[in-house]
Amino acid sequence: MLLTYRNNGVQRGIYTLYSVRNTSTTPENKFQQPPNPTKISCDMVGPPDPVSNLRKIIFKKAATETQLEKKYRELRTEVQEWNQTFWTLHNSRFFKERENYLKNNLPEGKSNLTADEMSVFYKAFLDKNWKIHINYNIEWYKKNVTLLGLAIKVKFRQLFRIKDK
Amino acid sequence: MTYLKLICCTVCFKNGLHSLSTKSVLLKISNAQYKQHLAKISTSHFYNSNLPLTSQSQSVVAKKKPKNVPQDTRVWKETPTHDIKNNLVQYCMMLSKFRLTSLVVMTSMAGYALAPAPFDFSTFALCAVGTGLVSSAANSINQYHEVPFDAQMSRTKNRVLVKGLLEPLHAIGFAAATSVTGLSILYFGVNPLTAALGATNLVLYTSIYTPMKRMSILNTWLGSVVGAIPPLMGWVGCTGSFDMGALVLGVILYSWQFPHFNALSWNLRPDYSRAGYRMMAVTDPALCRRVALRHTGVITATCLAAPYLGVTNIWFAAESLPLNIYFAYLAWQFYQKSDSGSSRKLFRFSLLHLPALMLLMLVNKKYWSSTDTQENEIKMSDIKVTDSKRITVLPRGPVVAAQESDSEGNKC
Repeated sequence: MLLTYRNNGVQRGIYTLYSVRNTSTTPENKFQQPPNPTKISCDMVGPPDPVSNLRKIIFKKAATETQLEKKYRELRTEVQEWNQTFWTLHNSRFFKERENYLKNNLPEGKSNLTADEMSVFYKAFLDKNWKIHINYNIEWYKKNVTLLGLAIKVKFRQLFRIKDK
Repeated sequence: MTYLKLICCTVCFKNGLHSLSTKSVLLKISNAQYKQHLAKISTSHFYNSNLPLTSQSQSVVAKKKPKNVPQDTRVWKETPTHDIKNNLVQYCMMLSKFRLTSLVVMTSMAGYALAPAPFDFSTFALCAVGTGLVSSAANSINQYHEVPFDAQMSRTKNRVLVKGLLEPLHAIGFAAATSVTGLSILYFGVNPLTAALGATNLVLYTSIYTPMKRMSILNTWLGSVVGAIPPLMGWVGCTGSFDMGALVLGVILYSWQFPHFNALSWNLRPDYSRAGYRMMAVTDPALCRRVALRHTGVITATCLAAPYLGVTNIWFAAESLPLNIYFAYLAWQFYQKSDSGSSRKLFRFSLLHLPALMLLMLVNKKYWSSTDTQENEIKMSDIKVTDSKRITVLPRGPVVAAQESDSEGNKC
């Protein structure tokens, strides 16, 4: 099977090998396209983002979802986007500043600085971003706990609904 | 041919080779520079060959992959994963940071075994199990809090919550179950003081140490206290109270954390800096190396003093000296060279040093078993009993009789 798909990219070849297991997306979709929220049977998690390192989750949007479930899904989406924005900006800034530091401090002929020389940059970056990190931390903990509370409520309701049936 | 190289890649990976780096470049899908994008092509577990330190934690995860399921190379996967029931044990081990928990349980068992009180096997087992469960709960809560940070660092990016294999509710549910069970076992099966120490440690680790990692380098000192508490739990589980031996064991474990952690963190400086963790290795590298060296000195000194404090016999000082000297020597090398090679050696040796030291302490224990102290007590009480018997068996002496007759005489 791999032979026939070599010109179309390796991923597609691998994809069709496991298409039986994959019930949510069709093989014709490019691997990069996220699944449709209304057509998946459960939440799907994707690959890590190249800049933010976070994995995107596509939340299943059921036709029969309750108000609580809708609220939970929307909050999860919002927190995910907030995280994605923060880490994308933060990591981009890190790499840009690192490039500047290397450009300014790299002597002629050398391609890398030693770990000790780089550590000056790492310390400076950490110190500069201390306030930002503290604020992010507080926000993240609050959001995480809220999400947990909602998750518990949703789980309970789901359990009771199954019991009623 | 790119697909041939992919086959090579997956074959190499299955055989456990680490050298994916050159081949992986050719298989990049996007323009990203990070190796983690190979997750799109191959399985999600794979090694970062530049940091063998990290492979220690990753290797356990990779080996535990289920064998009867074909490796899933889809890009989008279900979250939480649908194969929880098949791999429940593996997921519990991952949530509990199994290797770390095992080390913690080992120090707790050592604390129990070293304590100078009767060794009761069932209490010993309950103490070990209880400590393990509480430690698992703490690690699970820690993973719940740190999902976006773990995603940033190569060492931790393959954790279950980061990859979406489990969801936060699973982690918290697991933590709730294990903490309640663990603390109950400690309270009812061992003693309330041990349970209190366990609960304190749980709170310290999850609610103070974890947030503090991002606020100040003092987190390392607090983390060392967290590491020193399990042997105290074991000790207290045996004797029911703190004494000099507990202090000695606590100090050794506290000091051990510094060379162990400072060496580990040395090679993770770029990751810690980007993820926002405030560690000595990043903010004050000279302090990091100094502290590691200083504490190997403290360990050596404490081990030499242990016989004089009544914890071990005199042989322990002699036997532990080579071990501690070598440990201090590696810390000295790290202090001087301050490079990745010396830090790695120090970290690896710290993993050997601790179990070896515990074993030596155990073998050279002063009060060897329950029989030692009990025999002493029995001898003391025997002497008292025979003394009193001697007094009562003797007939009332002439002095006493004379006094009585005197008094009778006086009455007349």
